[in-house]
Amino acid sequence: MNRCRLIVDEPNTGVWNMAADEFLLQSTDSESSPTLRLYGWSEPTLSLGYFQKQADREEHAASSHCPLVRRHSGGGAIVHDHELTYSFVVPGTPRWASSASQLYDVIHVALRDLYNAWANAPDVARLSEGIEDGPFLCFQRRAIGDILIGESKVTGSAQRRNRNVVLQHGSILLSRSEAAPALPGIQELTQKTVSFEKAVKDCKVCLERALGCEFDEYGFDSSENSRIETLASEKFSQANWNGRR
Amino acid sequence: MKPEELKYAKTHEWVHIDDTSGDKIATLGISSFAIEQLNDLVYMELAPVGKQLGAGDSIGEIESVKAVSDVYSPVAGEVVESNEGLADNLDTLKDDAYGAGWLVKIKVSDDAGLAELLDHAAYEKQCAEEH
Repeated sequence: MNRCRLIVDEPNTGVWNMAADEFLLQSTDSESSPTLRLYGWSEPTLSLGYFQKQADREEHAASSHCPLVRRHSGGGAIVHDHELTYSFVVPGTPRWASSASQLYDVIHVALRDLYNAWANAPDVARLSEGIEDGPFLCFQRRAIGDILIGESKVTGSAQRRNRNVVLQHGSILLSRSEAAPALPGIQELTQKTVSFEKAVKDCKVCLERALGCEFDEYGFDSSENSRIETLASEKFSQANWNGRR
Repeated sequence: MKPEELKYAKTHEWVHIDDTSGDKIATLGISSFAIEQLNDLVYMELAPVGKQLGAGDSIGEIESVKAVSDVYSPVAGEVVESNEGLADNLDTLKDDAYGAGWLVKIKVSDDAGLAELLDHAAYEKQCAEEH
């Protein structure tokens, strides 16, 4: 069975989280194993999609007090708060091959089944048609493959693709954030409370099965942490990155 | 330009070389196979005129279906022309990938990367394997 590195991180800042994902993308080559990282956020944070304008955050007053970080991936802005975030970095995937797009399906089908197991909600579904990419917030947009409970989106994902490595990360909205009061999470939609710890534990099981691999769990070592810190301080905390548009 | 007459990078960029003016000018674009894979294009940003590139450097970035990808240059040189307006008319890439959908023109300073490019038949074979 294929091996896959698993990293489970304590909640951290948006700057550090995006630096860690970028580090995984940069340090993965054709000889590397894939890596799945599960993590949370130490404070409510607004992340911008790569091509979004920083000034557009004015459209969303509820998150105006939140720190901001620009992602390397596409899509709309996300208020990260009571969520579990995953990132999956997979080598040997040509960036414009159909297998890169299929990653959305593989992970979202597994997560849809997990939410059904959590809540036994009859209306957990993946969106099969229709695209709405106008709103500022990702969770108010709709893309094929998004996971919805009723009319509300609870999981969306985005990618950054290098030559032969794809990074996909996505958010599992566990409960509503005061910084995004219009967006109910799984708790509000199903009356079922899923703790961060339980979400991590269950995601490990369902994604190990879906990805067809066996996890080797070990965190970042001191050398890796040092490189992440450098990316955090020299890129993701810098105004010329976060305000580049 | 006819796709059969162009050269292709393994990373799906097409290249046309013109040396009739004395300088070697490479026109770069994205193959129709890749554009088809990308389907819903929403954003693009190209390297500005004057930018110096090494072989393998990014000449721009493109977003489709929440995925941002780099576009790479197989040659080293200076960007001498960028297809202004393309970012506002991304359908042009789909409609005319080998003509009006060109991305940048590069004054080539080192053409070593050209030797690694594929002809049309070899590129089509790669696409069939990748799909």
